[in-house]
Amino acid sequence: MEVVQLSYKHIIQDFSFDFLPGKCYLVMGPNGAGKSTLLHLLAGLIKPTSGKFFGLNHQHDYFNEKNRVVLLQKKLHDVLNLTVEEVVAMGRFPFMRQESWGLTEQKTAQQLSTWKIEHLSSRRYHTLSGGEQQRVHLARVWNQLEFTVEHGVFLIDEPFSNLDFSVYLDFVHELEKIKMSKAYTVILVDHSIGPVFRLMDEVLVLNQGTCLGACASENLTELSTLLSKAFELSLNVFQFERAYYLAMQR
Amino acid sequence: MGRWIFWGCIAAAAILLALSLGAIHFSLVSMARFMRDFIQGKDPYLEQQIFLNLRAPRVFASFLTGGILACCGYFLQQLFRNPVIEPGMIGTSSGAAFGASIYIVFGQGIAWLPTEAGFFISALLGGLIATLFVFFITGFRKHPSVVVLLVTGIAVNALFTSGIAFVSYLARDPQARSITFWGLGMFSNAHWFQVITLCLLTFLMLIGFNHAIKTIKILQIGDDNAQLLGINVFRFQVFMIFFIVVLVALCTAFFGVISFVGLIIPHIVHLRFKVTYENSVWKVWLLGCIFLVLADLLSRQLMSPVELPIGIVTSLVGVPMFISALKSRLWK
Amino acid sequence: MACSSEKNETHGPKARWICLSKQYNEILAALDLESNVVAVDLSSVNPKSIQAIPKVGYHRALAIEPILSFKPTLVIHDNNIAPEGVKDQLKELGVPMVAFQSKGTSVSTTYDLIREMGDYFQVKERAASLVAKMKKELLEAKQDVALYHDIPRVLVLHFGRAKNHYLMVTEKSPAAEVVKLAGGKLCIPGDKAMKMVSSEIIASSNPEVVLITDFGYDRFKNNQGSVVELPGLETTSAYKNQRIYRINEYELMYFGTTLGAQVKKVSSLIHQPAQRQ
Repeated sequence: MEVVQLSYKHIIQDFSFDFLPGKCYLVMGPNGAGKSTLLHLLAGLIKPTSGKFFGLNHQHDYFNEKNRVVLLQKKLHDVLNLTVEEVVAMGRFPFMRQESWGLTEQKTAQQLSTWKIEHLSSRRYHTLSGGEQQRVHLARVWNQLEFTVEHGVFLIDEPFSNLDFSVYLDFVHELEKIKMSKAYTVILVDHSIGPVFRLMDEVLVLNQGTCLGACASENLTELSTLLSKAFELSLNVFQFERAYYLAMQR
Repeated sequence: MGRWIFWGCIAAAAILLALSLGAIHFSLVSMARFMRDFIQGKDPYLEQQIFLNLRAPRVFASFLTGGILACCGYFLQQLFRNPVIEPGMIGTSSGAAFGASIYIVFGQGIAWLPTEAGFFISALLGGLIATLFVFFITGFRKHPSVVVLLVTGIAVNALFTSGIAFVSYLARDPQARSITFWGLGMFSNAHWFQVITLCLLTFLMLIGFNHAIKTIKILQIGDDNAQLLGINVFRFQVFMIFFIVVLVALCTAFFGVISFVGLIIPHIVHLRFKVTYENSVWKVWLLGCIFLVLADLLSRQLMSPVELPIGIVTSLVGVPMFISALKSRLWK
Repeated sequence: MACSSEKNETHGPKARWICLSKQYNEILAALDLESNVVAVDLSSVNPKSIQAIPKVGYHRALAIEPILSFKPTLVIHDNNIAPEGVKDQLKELGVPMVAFQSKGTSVSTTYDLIREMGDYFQVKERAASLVAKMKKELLEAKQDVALYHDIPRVLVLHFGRAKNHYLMVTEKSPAAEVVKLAGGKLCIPGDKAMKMVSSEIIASSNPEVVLITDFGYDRFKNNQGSVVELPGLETTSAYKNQRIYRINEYELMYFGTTLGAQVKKVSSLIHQPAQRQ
């Protein structure tokens, strides 16, 4: 997906980038850099003030491409009075016309077991703990993903803010499957370097609404430079025993 | 299944009760006799006329209107995710009443427009304009806060109600009398034409709302998330609100402003009964019907021979029902 | 129970009339036709014999079913009933209705009304003698009034039960003529018979006497004290001299069958005894 000079009010200024299909991109930057806004623009939730971006067709027509653009949002909405199974099943809504109810149930059950919430399937959403709700949220969005899609876009907005470590690891595991299938271009926003970093191909650093720079994820020195510039701190990204860390230098 | 039959019987019983009681009481036997004589084409006589042309349309009109108002209130509450809202509060009823009063005073000279249609069109326009006005003031925000919506609704209602008062001041005597009466809500003038229209609308409404409830359910996870699932949220909301305004404007044009039904019936249903999204529409509809047909019966009988405006009865009856339902919920 | 479509309804044991006008009811009673009336409206309270007849409601807030429950053979009204729908519904059901041509809003038209009713109900002689009696009584009353020197300014307040608020009676109303006959002057201008109370008009007209009709007067818990609730009254000389009186609606607001008595009653209230010759 090619993004050309995207602008949105004062939050995003002239953002341009070429996202290649099937690759995983990490977007980082300080608060207020416009990361969430960028994702919302790409998802079609808000209209840019100028600039455009292209999917498979010329103009990004959100409603025709609901099967291909999936957004995992940062904020969990407080859902009342629905069972967990009902919430997760909603993920199949874009496909409900084409598929039978049995298939919907099957896929929902699959997601419930993947995210380890089968035991909660008839509980009401608002009675769950924060961590459990987070899993339901993930299950619902994952239910919307289809490996057979072409040129899909999976946008993920800071999913690790309420860090529940067991969820995190399951997340990385599932995301790896998505990456392997190459069905989606993954654009993930995060504010730090964590276990998901090893899946990323490229990192974009945003600051004040523009792209400060991008580099391959292997290029840690370049990444450290970019991050330091963006956060105006002395930062260093390093690898230690197959894990990646972000540290602040004195 | 048994539950539905039970409530169906309650509804039928309510209708029969309302048909038989009144300033003149009719027994079931005489009701059957009236209908038999009518079907057999015999000459009409006064008692039969009273039953067939005054009592029956009135009972069915109040029954159907109750269902329509209750469902509209329910959907407004769901759309705005706001438990304290009903069509009367977003200006629709008073706007429709205003539109209709304008027509009564100024419009009846238009030759090519049949009276009923002209009446309805101006009521509809009035309702739409008033509702748009409320949204305009709240800035077309999708989920205005409770306070903002209430206050705006009160302001717009006050505006249109004083508009009605002004128009009735300008009106010549017979017109002025009509306007006052029907600003309070009464079923005393119900005709079969109105009942048939209401039947059609109810049929369409039940189909439409049962379909829309699926989308409403998904909207519970948030407008953004729903949009990401492919639902054109804005278009859905606009369409639903338009549909609701049309329904409420029509009821107001026929019978005047009847408030409170749309507010309390959905709550009583949720507080007292187990509902799922899928069966909620029917439950709200049925309770709304039963409620208003009995409220109309009370409005006729409580202070006979004076007929109370139905708005007074809905408050008198509705508030205790609501409070008791609320208390039973708080106990759990 | 047949619906007769004959215009001149005869009276008799089968007659079941509902009369919805207080003026008409008074005339019917005076013409000795009261026994045919089975129901009246709430505001018909004169003469006393009418009060025993069952009521169908207030004439400006009627409902069709209570009217029909009396199985009327004739509904008599003065084109002052509401809501409009009730008239239409009665017409649709073929219930015979009659409203008389003469308005009865002045002395002469009241005589016409009585004669018209006499013709309609086939009691011409009774009507004629009633009119003659009324003319004589009125003449006596006028002679009595002529003994007074002053022409006091009078304000009449009436309570409108349909809309639940007080009204000022204007120059265009029957009450104005009664007051004039009684030697007083009603100085509130207007195009309709009554209009909403306005403190400025009350204060600027500065009446010497205020007459409040029974229902409105009785709504105040005690007599003079809380009459001040009505705007503009405390500045008037009527209030200062404590000349605020209660009067029955049937004595002032319309022309009944005892015109002479009405005029005498009103004049006794509005004139100062000292002004009498």
